[in-house]
Amino acid sequence: MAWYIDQGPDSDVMISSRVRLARNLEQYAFPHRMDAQTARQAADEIVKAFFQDDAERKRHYLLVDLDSLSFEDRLALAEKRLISEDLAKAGDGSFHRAMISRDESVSIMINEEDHIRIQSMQAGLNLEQAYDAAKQVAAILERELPVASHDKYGYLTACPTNTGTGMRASVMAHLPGLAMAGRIKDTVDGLIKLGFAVRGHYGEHSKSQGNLFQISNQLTLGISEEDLINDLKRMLQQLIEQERGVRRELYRRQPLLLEDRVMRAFATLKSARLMTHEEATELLSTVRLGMALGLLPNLQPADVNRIYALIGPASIQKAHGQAMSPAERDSARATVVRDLLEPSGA
Amino acid sequence: MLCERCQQQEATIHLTQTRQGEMTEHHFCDSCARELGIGHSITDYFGTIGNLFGSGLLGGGSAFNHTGGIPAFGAAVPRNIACPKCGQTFEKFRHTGLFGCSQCYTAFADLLDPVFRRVQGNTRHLGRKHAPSEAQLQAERLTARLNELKQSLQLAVAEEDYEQAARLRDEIRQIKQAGTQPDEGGET
Repeated sequence: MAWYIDQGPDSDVMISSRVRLARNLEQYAFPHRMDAQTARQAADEIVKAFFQDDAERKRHYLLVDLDSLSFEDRLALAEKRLISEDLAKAGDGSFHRAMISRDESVSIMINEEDHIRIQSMQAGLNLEQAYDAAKQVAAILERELPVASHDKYGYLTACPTNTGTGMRASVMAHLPGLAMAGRIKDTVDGLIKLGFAVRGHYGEHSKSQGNLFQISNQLTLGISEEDLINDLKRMLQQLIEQERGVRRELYRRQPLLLEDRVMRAFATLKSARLMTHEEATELLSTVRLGMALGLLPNLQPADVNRIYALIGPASIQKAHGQAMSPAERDSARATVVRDLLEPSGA
Repeated sequence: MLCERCQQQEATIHLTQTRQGEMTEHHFCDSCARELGIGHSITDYFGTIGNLFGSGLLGGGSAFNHTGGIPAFGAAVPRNIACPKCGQTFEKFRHTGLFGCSQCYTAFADLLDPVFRRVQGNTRHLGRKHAPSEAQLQAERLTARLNELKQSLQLAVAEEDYEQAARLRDEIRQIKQAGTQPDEGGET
C-alpha cells in the first residue's frame, strides 16, 4: 500500500521507508549524454522489457509519460514521492517516463540520472520489504535487458556515489522530540559521523520542514545490500528509542505546556481558513507528536501522513485544476486539511 | 578507550557494522576516522552541500554538487584520456562528477581506485552479483564463437585450404549480421 495510507512498524517516529536501486543499459550512454533519439529508444526498450505481454503487470502498473504532463502535475507526483524532484523539474522532450504501481508502492523512473531508477516505498520502518519489492522489479528488468555491470565495480551508474549496489535505502523520520530538546544538530552530526546522509523532507537540496528528516546510507560500494540495510536499521532503532525517550521526558516535565501546544495545533488545523504549506507542516508535526503521546486517541498516523501527501503546492494546484494565486492555494489547502481531519471527529 | 588504529588518542567514533552477517565493532579517534573517510558527509542537516572530498582538492569551476568532487591527481596522470565509446574525457568526468557511459569505467580503470577510495572508502563491489540477461549471454556466446571461427580461418589460410576458408568467412559474416540485428547499438 502507499506509504501515506498504510500504517507500518514504528510509525510513531518513522513515516516511511524507501529503497532505490539504480540500473543502466550497457549499450547506451548515460542519460546526461544521450540525444533525444537514443533516449526514446532506451525508454521504449525499458518499458517493453518490463511489461512484455504480462497482462497482470499491465493492470498493476501505470505508464506515465512525464513529458506530456504539466510541470505542476509532475511536481504533484514528486510531492507524493512517486518520482524524484529532479525528474519532476527536468525539461520536456527528454523521454522521461515512470511506471508507477497502482498502489503507489513501487515506481520505476526512466532516464533520470540513470536509465533506470527503481523505487519502493513502505509505511513505517520496513526497509526489508521495500528492498524485496525493488529487488523483484530489478530481477525482471535484468533478465530482459543488458544491464551494465562490472566484476570489480558491480552495477555501473552515472555517478560514482551510486556505483556498486546502486542502492540508496532511506527513511523519513519525524523527530519533534529531539528538535524541542535542542538536540537535532548533535543527532544529525552523529549520524553523519557514522556514515549516514541526512536531508530535508523532499530529499536532496531541500530544507527540513516540520521536523522531518530523510536519513539514508551514504556508501554503495564494498558492502552488500543486506549488510547496508542492517547497519541502517540498527542505527534507526537506537534513534527511535532516543526520540521516544525525549518525548516521554518532555511530556513528564511539562505536560500542560505540551498538551496546550498539541491542542492548539490541532484546533488551528481544523479551523484555519488560510494556511501556507510551511505552517501546515509545522502544525502537523505537533499533532503527530500529540498523537504518539496518546493525546489525540481518535487520530491515526495515516490520517496525518495522507495530509502530508496532499498539501504540497503542486498537489493543491492539481486538485483545483487551474492556475491559482498563492492566497487561493492557501485557502484551498486550509479546506483540504479541514476536510481530511473532520471524519476522525477527534 | 583508545583508538584501535593509532592506539594513542581517545576513541570518539564508535562504529557497529555487519559484514557478511558478522557484527563487528570499531573505535577510532577523530583524526584516524577522518583519514579513513568515516565521518565525511555529503550534506549537512540543512541540506546544504558539504564537500565530501575535503578542501583544496578541486579546482574552481567544478559542477560537482550533490556528489562533492573528484580528487585532483598529480601532473603525471593523463587527464585528457577519453572513453572510446562515448568520447567523454577523464577531465570532464572530474568536473561533472558523472561518467558518460558504462564503458568509461573500463576506459578510466587505472585512474578510478583513488576516486572510489575517496568517494566510497572502497574499491570493490561486495553486494549482489548481476546475472547476465539472456541477450548478454547470447552475445557472449556469439563473440566466443566468432573468435573460434577467426582462429580457424587464419589456420585455413595459412594451410592454403581456401575452400575451408571461404566457408568460415561466410559463417563469420552470417554471425556478424545476426549479431547486429537485435542490438541496434552495433558490435561492442
